[in-house]
Amino acid sequence: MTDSPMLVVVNDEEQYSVWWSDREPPAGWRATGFAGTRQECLDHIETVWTDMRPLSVRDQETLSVRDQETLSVRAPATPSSRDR
Amino acid sequence: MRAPLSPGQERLWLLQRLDPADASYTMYTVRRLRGPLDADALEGALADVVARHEGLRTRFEEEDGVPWAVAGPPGAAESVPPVERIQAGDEEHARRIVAERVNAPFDLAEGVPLRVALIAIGALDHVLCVTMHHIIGDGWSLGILFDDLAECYTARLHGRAPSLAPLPVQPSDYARWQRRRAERAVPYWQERLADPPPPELPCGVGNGGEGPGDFQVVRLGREVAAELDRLARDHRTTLFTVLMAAYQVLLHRHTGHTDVLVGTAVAGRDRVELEPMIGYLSQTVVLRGDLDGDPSFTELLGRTRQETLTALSRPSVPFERIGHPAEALMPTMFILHTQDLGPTRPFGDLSVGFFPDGYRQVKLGLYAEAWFEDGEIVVSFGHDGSSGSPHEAEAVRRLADRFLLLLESAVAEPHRRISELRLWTGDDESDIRAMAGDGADAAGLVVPETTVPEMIAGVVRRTPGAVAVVCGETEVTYAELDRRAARLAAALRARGVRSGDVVGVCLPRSVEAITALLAVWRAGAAYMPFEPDEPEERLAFSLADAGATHVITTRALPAGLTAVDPLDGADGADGADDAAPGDPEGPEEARPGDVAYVISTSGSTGRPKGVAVEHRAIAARIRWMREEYGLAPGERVVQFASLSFDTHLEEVFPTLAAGAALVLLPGGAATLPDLLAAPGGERITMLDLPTAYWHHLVEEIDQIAWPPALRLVVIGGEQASGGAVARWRGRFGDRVRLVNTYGPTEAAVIATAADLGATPYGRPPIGRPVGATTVHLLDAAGAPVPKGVIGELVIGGAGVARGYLRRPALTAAAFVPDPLGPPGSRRYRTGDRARWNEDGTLEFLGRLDGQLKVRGFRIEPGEVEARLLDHPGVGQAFVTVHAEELVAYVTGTVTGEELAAHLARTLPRHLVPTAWVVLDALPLTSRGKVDRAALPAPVRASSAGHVPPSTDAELLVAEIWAELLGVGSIGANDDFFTLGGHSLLATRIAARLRRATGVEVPVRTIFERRTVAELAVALEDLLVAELEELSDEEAERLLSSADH
Repeated sequence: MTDSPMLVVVNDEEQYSVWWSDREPPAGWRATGFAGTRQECLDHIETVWTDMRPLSVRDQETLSVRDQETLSVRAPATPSSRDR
Repeated sequence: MRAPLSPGQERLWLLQRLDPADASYTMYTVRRLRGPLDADALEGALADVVARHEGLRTRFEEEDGVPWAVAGPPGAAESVPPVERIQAGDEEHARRIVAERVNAPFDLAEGVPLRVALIAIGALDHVLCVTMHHIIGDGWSLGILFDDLAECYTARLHGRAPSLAPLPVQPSDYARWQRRRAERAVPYWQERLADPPPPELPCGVGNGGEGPGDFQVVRLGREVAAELDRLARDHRTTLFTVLMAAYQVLLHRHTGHTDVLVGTAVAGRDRVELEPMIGYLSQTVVLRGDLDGDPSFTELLGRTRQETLTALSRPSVPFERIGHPAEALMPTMFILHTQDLGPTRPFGDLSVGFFPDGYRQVKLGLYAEAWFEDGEIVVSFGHDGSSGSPHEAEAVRRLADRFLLLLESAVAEPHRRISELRLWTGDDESDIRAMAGDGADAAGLVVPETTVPEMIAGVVRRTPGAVAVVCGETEVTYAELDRRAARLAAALRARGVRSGDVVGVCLPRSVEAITALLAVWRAGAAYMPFEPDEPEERLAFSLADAGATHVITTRALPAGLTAVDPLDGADGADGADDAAPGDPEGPEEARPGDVAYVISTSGSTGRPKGVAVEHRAIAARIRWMREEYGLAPGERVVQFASLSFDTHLEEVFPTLAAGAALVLLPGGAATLPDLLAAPGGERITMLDLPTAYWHHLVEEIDQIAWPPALRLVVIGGEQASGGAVARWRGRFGDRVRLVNTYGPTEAAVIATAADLGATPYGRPPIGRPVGATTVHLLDAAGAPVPKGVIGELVIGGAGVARGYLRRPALTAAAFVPDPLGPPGSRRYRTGDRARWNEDGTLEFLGRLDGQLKVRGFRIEPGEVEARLLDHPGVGQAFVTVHAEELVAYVTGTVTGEELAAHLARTLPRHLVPTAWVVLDALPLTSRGKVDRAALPAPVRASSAGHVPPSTDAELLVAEIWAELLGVGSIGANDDFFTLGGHSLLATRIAARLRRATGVEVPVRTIFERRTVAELAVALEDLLVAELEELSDEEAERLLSSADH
């Protein structure tokens, strides 16, 4: 039921979601330690999930930015989505 | 003697008038009488019984539309129905004779509706079959009739007077009394049944289809029956209450509704003097079950007990006076027959037994009746075939089996919550496991990591000279498209766009727009498409929300945004090369995990939200579509969808990935019929249309120039109509394939598809999961449900989107762990309700929340309401759909025009209501919700300064408008769009004009000539032009033939 206690869970891509506290999280997901009502869990996620890119994408993009910076020839930066 | 009818009788009289062939109100008693039968004594006994009971002598007369009950005099020979004596060849023959009689209707204008047949199987073996219309007797009456008949027969055999007490009350007395009582009960029922829940039944029964009805009978063993009885006594209630509560749970667990309406019949003989009377006294009442909050079964018993006490003592529901159809107030019934079916008096020397009645009439979509037999409880589920499915009997059989399990579980553990009671049979459990297996299979699918840009690059290499895009007279080859995309991509890079960025695309339907999509990808970014006339405020909000700074457009943009001209980098412009200055890397290949596009969708909280879909998700879809739709070079596919909706991906990219040609509609989507009728239109092979639009085209199917090359039509976005599918098949046979698709933006365009063939459909299905996709239906507790049960549709697999940009909580709530997919995978909760049919296809059943679909557009009414409440003149606001229009009900001091202008500043056109109703207050139900039934339908007045249409052409145009717009008197200066016209209707106006005049009127003319007078002039011009094209000789012939 929607008012039963829930957990905040996260997968290997650091994507967050909620899961029932009386059930084992599925493979590839782990509890973060935060528990509460569904709404409390979602409110918590709103504050902790700050970079919504999957971890693998984040790694790749960070890498390409660093490469470009090493080359020091990148045009003056424009604000882009990855800076949020 | 003439008497008024009771309210129940009036209702039956009316129903019989409406459907004279309906035999479902034929009541009967069929008994086998073994032993030496004195047929003359039996006829005499029947005369005695008829003399005793006024009801058995009553016929019905009509005077000025009002029915009256007229009883013949007691004892008169003409009052006694003749006994039909039949010799049956054998028992089987006797069965047929009986079945014929119990399934025959009565004509209430033709005398007393009572028939008696005595069928002889052998000298000492007879079957007595008495039938009557329900209007003169109920189930209880049949028992009295048989008992009184037995006593009179026995008395005649022994030459004595029957020992029957005189009857204090006759039906005519009762009818007068009941009329007064029923009147007093009307307010109770009106209040109790206000705002009924959707009349939804398990297994799709009640879908409006047609098929054979049947009965599915199950038996509860003596032990369970005894335990149910004990459970009832332990909770100071009756077996009926226990069974009724369980039946409500059965419905709730199949539909998800917590507000459940179930009718039942009560004997209505709560006064001693009513007990021995033959008449229609039973009352139909409705119990409103409240299953909210997942109560335990015992708690629900308490609620049902209370409801039963209040409702069962009332006279029948006055269905005609509640303001909803009877099917909505009582979609189903549960009846427990408690009267003893066996004889209570001796029938002379005869032994009395049962005989099969062969009854086949089903009164409702679904109803359950229970009775006792040898200490067991027999439950019969009657269903009327209205699911339209050939598997209905199978589905209801499962339902009946589940009811048994549910009852067993309830007596075993009555303190369990109703969601935890056992319901699924062994078959159900293995079904659920099999469906879960689907997920494992799909997860095991190896999805090749080819992106859509790579697929298109392959085509450019293989067939550079083939036509890729057609726009009016312009044709662009793959090589040219590729060159343009490369240049624009370089221009984007030069302007600072980088991999991982989001770039807006805000362009009219054009080659440049298609080029822009490809160019954004080539620049390593994701595109976010907008309507060319997207309100500035919303455009700025959505772009900022997505972190986007660049927009490919020719429009002026708000400060802070960089406009990139779609022709930037074209010949003559600077930097016409792949590697632009300041971008030494050149464009990067799109990786499967990168975001490919962002689609802005309506958000229930009042703000739009951007759905981000990755390349690997859309690649899986495009690959499936290209293969499933069989697209090949040489084909022509129309690009109908607006780019701001994700359906455009289903048109643009399978076409380009297959090397076929994409045909644009520069005049707007509504000009599709013009394109089909124009030269080149005959070469179109595939159309992908919103279901609502396709429905309108099918309405005018003979007026549309369907291309001879057309081989595939894909529809989606709304529930397809079975009638439209039948019409389509009637026109095209199996020549043009029709695929019904379903899917939310969050699962990459589509998730399921069904080929709609020649089978008639009550409600056409949305099919099965497409490639690399899983679909599970989950109940409120997140557990998968078997066939026939409504659950939330949850999509897993390759198409699941990354999420909502910058909306962590919304994303976490909608994209949840998928325990059946690969480790760590997520699935998307659609909020859509669906059911697995017996044949393994899915049936779509609307929303769990208030989200609307209007002409294929997905709308959160909350978003529109929030914007309305922003206006200082608005007190309350409620937004809903009426006749394909978005309607706003508001309270306050403003006009609809003001509010439409207010909304147009922030909302895209499809979110702005087109009909407005200003009220003093929103009507509320007793539960505090907006009472939809009490909302007035929007009324459109034609504009002030009414000028009646005068010329023939004006009269014709006004007549067609009036019919299609549903507006009364239309003036010559009235504007099509002001009157509620929309692009779907424009198509039909054009088709009707063509049908009436034989002249091809382009749909775009309807948009450009918006008043009756203007359109009439255009029509006359077209007629003149047509005549001028004819040779003198042809014109002569035409004119002379018109004279005849």
